Amino acid sequence: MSDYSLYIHAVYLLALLVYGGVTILWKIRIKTIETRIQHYQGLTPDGPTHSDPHHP
Amino acid sequence: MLKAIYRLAWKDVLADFRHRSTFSSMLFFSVAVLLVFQAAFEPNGQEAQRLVPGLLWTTVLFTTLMGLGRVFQSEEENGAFEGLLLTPLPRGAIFFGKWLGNLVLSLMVMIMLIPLTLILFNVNIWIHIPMLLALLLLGTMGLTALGVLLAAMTQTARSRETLLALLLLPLVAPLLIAGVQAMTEVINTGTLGGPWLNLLLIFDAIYLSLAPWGFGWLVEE
Amino acid sequence: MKRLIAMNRWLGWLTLILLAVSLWLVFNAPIDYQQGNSVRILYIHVPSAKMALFVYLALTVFSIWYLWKKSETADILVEASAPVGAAFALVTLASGSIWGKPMWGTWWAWDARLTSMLVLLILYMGIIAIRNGIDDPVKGARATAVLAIFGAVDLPIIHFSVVWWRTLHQPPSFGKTASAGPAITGPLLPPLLWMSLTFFLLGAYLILLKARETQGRRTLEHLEAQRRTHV
Repeated sequence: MSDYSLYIHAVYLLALLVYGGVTILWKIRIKTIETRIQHYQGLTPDGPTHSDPHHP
Repeated sequence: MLKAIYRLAWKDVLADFRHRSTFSSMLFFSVAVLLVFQAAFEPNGQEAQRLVPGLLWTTVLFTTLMGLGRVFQSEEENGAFEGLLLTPLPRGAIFFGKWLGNLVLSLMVMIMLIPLTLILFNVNIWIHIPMLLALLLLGTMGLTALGVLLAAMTQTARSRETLLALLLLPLVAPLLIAGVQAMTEVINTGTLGGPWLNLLLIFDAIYLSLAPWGFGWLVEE
Repeated sequence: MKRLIAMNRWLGWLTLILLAVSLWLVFNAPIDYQQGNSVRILYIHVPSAKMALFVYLALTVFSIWYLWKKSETADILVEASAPVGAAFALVTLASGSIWGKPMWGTWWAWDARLTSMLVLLILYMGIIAIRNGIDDPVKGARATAVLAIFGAVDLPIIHFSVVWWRTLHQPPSFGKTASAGPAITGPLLPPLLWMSLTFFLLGAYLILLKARETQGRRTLEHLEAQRRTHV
């Protein structure tokens, strides 16, 4: 692992950052979206409630 | 149907001369591009002659891009596009009408652009002008076919001009390569032909036959 | 939707297991006699490049499916594939560049494969931009699908014209083998195959993950729009 090891490390780190990065980013976004969907579905369709932060 | 295509194109060209004046903006824009190139590279003599093909094609590309940004503008502004779609014309005919109108405008710019370039860059290749013009015309046919399709694609988008440039530039790369190589050959040997011209023709054929279908899908109800 | 989540989950675990196996193989593979250890870069670079192209193929199929059946699933898959393909293309370009520095002595060469991959990346960016740039859902889906299909027509032309250009224009500075890595044979092959399989699963996993996100976002937007009309 002596020769070119800097370049090899750079490539594997890059792959980890890009592929791992998008995975984590999208997982977080799915979580946020799911909580917000649940929040909306929990509301009554008749009008705004006090728990709705967008329509106080 | 040919008559309808011709009418549609004529309407666009006429309207352009009367109100929108895309033509004059394109022309002066191309002169401005030449000025920028001269300021940036300061080519002289042999160098200028080597640069001319790339210069002409880049200028044509940017100028056409500018014209394409306005292809569907008037229709979009007064809602005439729906009216155009309601006519009993096939979608392909509407596409070709738009394409022809745009092509005529670009061609008029190019007729002025070639001598201007030769004068401003002091290149003495006047005898090749018909061939240069023929090449630019062939290239612009494919370029505007793809361009009108992309303009139709992006007409309802936010920041459509940026999007149009982003999409058009990579997709016309083969056309640009072929055009520049064929033109270099014309300047060096005085002959028009060879594999690069064939590539240019293939590109034209593909886009002129496929773009009407794509346009049909885009505007389908 | 439930099935999608379940499939996504086990696909994720399968990818992780395969990744562990492949990485173990990669770091126990013998060293190439010519390129030394640097050949290990290719185990990331080559599968990424394959997937960058393969995802585009999938994207084209989804686009045709959308235009044909007008199915929203196809549209979601089109939207989900573009960023995944862009990620693969980005890693391909960057890893190739890092490999090129010690091997060619330069970060970048206007070689045919490099140029085509760059165009592919820009095309993915264009597809993402147009999908996000059009508010009307139907018009946006159509424009994206048509663009993807025209890109698929254009990509081979771009590739051949650039190959032609580089071979006619100047003697190729780097042979065919140099830009793709040498023809890998013998003991170097199994880790590459395992890595390719891993990346294939990774691509499928990422597309499904992004599809879940896209679907969720659309549901949310729908709910928000409903909410707004009630208030």
